[in-house]
Amino acid sequence: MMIMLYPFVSHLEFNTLIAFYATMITCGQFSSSVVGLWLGLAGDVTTIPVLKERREIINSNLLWTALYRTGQASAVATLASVVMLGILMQFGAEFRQFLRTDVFFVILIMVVFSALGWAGNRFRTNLLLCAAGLVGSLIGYNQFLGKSILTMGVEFLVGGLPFLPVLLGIYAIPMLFAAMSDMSKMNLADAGSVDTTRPIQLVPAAVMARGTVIGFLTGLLPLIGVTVSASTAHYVESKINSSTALSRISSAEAANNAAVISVLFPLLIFGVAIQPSEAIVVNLLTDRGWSINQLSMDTYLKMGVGILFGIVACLAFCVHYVTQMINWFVRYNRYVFYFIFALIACDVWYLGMDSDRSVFYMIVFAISVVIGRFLYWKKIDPVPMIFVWLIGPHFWPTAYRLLQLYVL
Amino acid sequence: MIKKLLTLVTAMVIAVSASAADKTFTFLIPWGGGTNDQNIAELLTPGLKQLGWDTSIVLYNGNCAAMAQELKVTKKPTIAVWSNRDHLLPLDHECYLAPPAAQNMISIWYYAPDYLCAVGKTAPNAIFTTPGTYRISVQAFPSTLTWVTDAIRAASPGTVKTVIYTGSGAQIRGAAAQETEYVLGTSGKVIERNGQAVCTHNTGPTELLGTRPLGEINQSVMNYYMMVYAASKNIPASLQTELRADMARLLQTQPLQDYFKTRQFMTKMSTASADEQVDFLLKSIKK
Repeated sequence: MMIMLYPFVSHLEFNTLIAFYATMITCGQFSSSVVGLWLGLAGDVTTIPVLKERREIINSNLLWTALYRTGQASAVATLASVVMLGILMQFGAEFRQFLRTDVFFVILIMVVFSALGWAGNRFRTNLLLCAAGLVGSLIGYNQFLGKSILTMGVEFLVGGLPFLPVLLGIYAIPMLFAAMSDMSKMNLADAGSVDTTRPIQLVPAAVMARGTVIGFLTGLLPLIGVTVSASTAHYVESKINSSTALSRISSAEAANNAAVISVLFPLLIFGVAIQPSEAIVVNLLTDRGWSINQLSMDTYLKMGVGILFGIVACLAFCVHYVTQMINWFVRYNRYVFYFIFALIACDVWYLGMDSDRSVFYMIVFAISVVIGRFLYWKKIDPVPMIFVWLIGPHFWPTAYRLLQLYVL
Repeated sequence: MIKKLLTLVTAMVIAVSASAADKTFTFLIPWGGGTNDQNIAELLTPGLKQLGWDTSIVLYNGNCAAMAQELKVTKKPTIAVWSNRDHLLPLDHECYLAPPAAQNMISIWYYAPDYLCAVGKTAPNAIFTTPGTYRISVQAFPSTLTWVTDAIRAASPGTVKTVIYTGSGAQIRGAAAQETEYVLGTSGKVIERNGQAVCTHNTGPTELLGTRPLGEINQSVMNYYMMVYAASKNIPASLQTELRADMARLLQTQPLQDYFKTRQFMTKMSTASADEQVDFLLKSIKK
C-alpha cells in the first residue's frame, strides 16, 4: 500500500508522513479483518483469529456486532498505543542506554536472526537471501573504506543499487500479481448476512486492555511482532473462562492494532525498519531529511486525529460498502492492477529524475521484477534479503565501532 | 488495449509532475537528513522561493563519491554544498572536487573550528595531564582530522584511541550514551549545551567561546576551521550574481542567524565578495 501511494506521500513533511503511515496501517489492518469477517478471506496472518471465530459469530447472528466491536477495539487500542509510544519515546530519550552502540548492535543482530529464521523459507534459503541482501547493501561507495566496492566499474553503481526500485520489483510486483490471481478465484457466495437490528454492545474494557498490552509488547519484537500479536492475544483470551467469540476477536484486533504502533518504536528511536512498509517510510524520511527521535506533540496530535478519523471512516465505509466494494474489485481487478503497475513504473522513473538516473532505475526495476517473479515461482519469500539489505549500511559501521569501543 | 493505454497515461499524469522555471536549481548535499547542510538548505528554501527561485534538495547520505560523480556529469542547474575538508583528499580520490573559483562560488555558509570536549564525568583536561586510556569520538572519513588526533595522542601521557562515528548526529548520540571519554568535532558545542560534555580546546588560532586553541598543545593543529560553502554549476552568469546576492541576504535573516547562533557557527564571510570568500577558503585547505 505504501509503495502504491509513493507519488502522493513522497512530499509530505515529517509529522504528516508518520501520522499518515500510522493511520494507513491501522485502517489497513482493520479492513483486512472486515474482509475476513464478511467474506471469510484471509487478508494476512493477523486475520487468522477472525477466521477461526467467524463460523460461531455467523451462527449467533453477531456479524454486525462483531464488526463494530473490532472497529472499536482497533480505534481504542491504536490511540492507547500512540499514548504508550509517546511515553516510551520520552523514556527512550531519557534512558541513554538506548543510544549505546552495543544496544543498537543487539537490535541489528536480532533482525539478522529473525531474517535467518524467517518462516516463509527454509533456513538455507534464508541464509542465501541474507547473503544476497548483504552484497546488495555493500555495492557502491563505502564511507569507511573511502572507496567504491563491488561496482564492477559501472559508474552508476557508485551511488549503490537504488533500494526502492529493487524493493518494488522483487517484492511489490510479485505481491501485486499474486493478489490479482487470488482475486480472480474469489467466491463471494459465502458472504455473511447482516442483522442490523441487534443492539451494539461495547467491548469490555478488560478485553481491550489485555489485547492492547499484549499487542504493544509483541510489536516490539523485531520482524515477528505484528505477525504474532493477534494470535497471541487470541490465545490468551481463549484461556479465560468467560471469553466469547466476540471478546476473543476484539482482543486479537486490539493487539493487532497496538502492535502496528509499537513497531514504530525501533524505527523512531534507532531508525531501523522492522517490517516492509516501514522500510518505505524510512527511505522516504531519510530522503526528506529525517533524523531519529524527532517526534513532537504535533506528531502525536496528527497521529491521534488521523487514526480516529481513519477508523471511523473505515468503519462507516466498510459497513455500508464492503460487499459492493469487493465485488467491484473482483470485477475490474485486471484494470486496477494494470493501473497500479503503471503507477509503480512511473514512481521508479520519478525516483530517478532528480539525479538524472531514471533509465538506470528502470533497468534495475525491470531486472528486479524478473528476479521477483522467479522467486515467487519458486515460492521463495524475499523478505529476509530486504531486511538484511536495509540494515547493511548500519551493520558494518556499528560492528566496527563496537570493536573500537570495547576490543581494539 | 485502449483501456490499458488510458490507465497507463492516467497513471503517468498523476505520478509525474514536471515544472520548468528559469530560476531553478537543485541543492546537492553530501550528507543525510538532519545534518547542518540539509537544515540550512531547508531554512533557505522558503526565502529563495519568495525571491522567485524554484529549488529542490538531493541528499547523498555520506556518499561523497556519488555526489562528486553527479556534479561532474550533470547538465542541470546545481548548487553543490561542499566543505573545505573534502579538498584535503588526494587528487585521484573518488570524492575529490577542485576548489571553487570566484566564478562559481556562491557563498560560504558557515565555518567553525573542531572542539575537543570531555564527555560526562571525564575531567576536562585529563587527556593532557593524567595517564589512562581515552577514547575520542571522531567523524568518519573524509571528516576525520587524523593530524589533530595524532597531535592529541602525542601530547597525552595516556593511551588515546579514536572511535569512528558516521556523522555528527551519531557523535551526539554516542556522547549522550557516554560511550567515549572525549568528542572531537564541530558539534562539540551542541553537546556541551545539552549538558553532556565540557569543551576545553578548539582547532582555531585563538581562544573561542571559553576554549583554548589546541595549537597551545601542538602547533600542527593551529588555525583549522571547517568551512561549508555553496558553489554553482550550470547556472547562467546573469542569474549567478542574483543568486549570490539573494543567498547572502537570506543567510543574514533571523531564522538562519538563530540557527548559526545555537550551533556557535561563524558566518561573517558570507557577505564578503566572491574573491574574498574563495581566498579565505583556499587558505584553509592545508593539513
